[in-house]
Amino acid sequence: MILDGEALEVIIKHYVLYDHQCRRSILVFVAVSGLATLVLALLVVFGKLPALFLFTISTGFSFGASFVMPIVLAFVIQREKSEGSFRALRALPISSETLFLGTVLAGVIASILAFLPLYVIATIVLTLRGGDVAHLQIGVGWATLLISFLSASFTLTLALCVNSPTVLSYLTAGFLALAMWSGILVQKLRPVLENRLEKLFYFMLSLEGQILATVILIMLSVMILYVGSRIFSRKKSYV
Amino acid sequence: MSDVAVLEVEGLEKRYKNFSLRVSFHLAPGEVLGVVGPNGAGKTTMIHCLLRIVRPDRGRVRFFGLDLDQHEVAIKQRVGFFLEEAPLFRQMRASDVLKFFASFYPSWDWNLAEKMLQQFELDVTKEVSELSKGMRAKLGLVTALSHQPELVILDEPTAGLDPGMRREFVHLVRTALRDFHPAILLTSHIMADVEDLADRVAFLQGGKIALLESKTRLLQSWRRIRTRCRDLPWLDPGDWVAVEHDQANGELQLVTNRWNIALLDQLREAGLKDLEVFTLSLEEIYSYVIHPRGRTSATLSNNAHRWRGLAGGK
Repeated sequence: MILDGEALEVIIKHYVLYDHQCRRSILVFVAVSGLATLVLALLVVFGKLPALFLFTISTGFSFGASFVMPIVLAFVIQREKSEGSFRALRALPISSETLFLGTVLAGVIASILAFLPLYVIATIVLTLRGGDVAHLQIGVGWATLLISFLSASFTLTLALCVNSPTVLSYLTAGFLALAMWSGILVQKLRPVLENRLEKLFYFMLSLEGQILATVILIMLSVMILYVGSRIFSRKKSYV
Repeated sequence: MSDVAVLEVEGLEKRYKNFSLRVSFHLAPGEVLGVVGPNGAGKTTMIHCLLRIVRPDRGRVRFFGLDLDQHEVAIKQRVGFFLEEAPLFRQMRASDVLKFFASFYPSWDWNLAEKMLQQFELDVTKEVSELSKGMRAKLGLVTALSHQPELVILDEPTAGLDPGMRREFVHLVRTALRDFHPAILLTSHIMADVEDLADRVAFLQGGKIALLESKTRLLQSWRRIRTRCRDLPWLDPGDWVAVEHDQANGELQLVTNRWNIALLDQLREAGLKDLEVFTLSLEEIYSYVIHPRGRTSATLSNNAHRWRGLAGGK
């Protein structure tokens, strides 16, 4: 694998800073989620809402950012392929591995930029309030980072390796369906596995559980990246 | 100047369902090779294979003596490119596009880029999508030349441009040739561009190179000879690419790609008089090479009995 640090940085900036669609999406997400979190935070500060409510909403926004931003970037990639500018990217002096990894990292960084402001607001307020949710909030931040990495690896591997624009529509629909079915599944399994689910929940909150989850998510992401990078560098056509 | 070829292409093959490309050629330092062919001949496919936008099925490509697959990044830093229709990140401002390109080329010269931008009167604060086709092409040329590459690859650079823009474009390429002597690989279906710039010319048809020759030699070796005669005399078929005899007014036009003065003596010995000799433009030569049946079969079919009879009666 041939990687160029400077070129990686340029690719990341190209998508996160210079591409209008990506930049606008980050700003809109930050504005909407940040404002909503700020309002909820103020309500929590003045005792109008429980801290758990702020925690739940901010966690939803954070996890949302980790899925949404890579999908936005995937649509940017598909747009570049259809308008032809991806050809220019491929013709530039960048190795295919650098282009691949730079794009995935851009997805991760876009997610971080999108969720960071709301996370900071929520963390400050929840920390000041104290209690169990404050501890959980730190775990949420780390989990969001890991999920961003996994989500960006998977989504952008698909966007880079598959030339069909419809794959992203299926991917988006797939994520939505997954979220919906996960919720339904948990509801259905809850009466049957309530004790086990509770044990799993507390295990995941423990240090051992977090380490295990971190290792699994990182290994999964690295595996996807490795396979994706090999596929991308051997593609017969980039247009 | 180095003796190492700037570009060596050996047996480059790319197969699609209804089309296959197979070419071999080389490009010397400072040389301009113009590749001409109709739409669908494989010009853009060839360029995409060289820039690894598309992976060829077979063949070897070496730039500056280095294998492309093993030294892709180092090679591309010495190569400038202009892709058909200049597809440059429409959502970005022109200034950001230039900064982006500059990041990848250690030899990027901002003074040269500024000079070209001023010459073109290009507004770099605009987004690429707001630029006209001609302005986008100019921006594409600035990105291709600002790092003073040793090889410039131009794929249909003037397609869709008005004549004024085309002249500006050709002028800028000539200035680059004069200032830093790059080799240029130029593909086009507009013969005038190739005629203006090329040292050597390749005619590409159906994915194969039908002819590869120096422009000067081509122009020197092709001639049209016009005369009048009632009956077609015997002519050695090996000397003539096309024979067009209008039996109604007696006009006879002969086209050869092996011009020498001795041919005139042969024609006079065959009884032909008042011979007028004309040079052919590259465009005319191209039409004879790419569409030989279209030019000769019609004439041969009109005179087939005469041609065959005369050839057989030697």
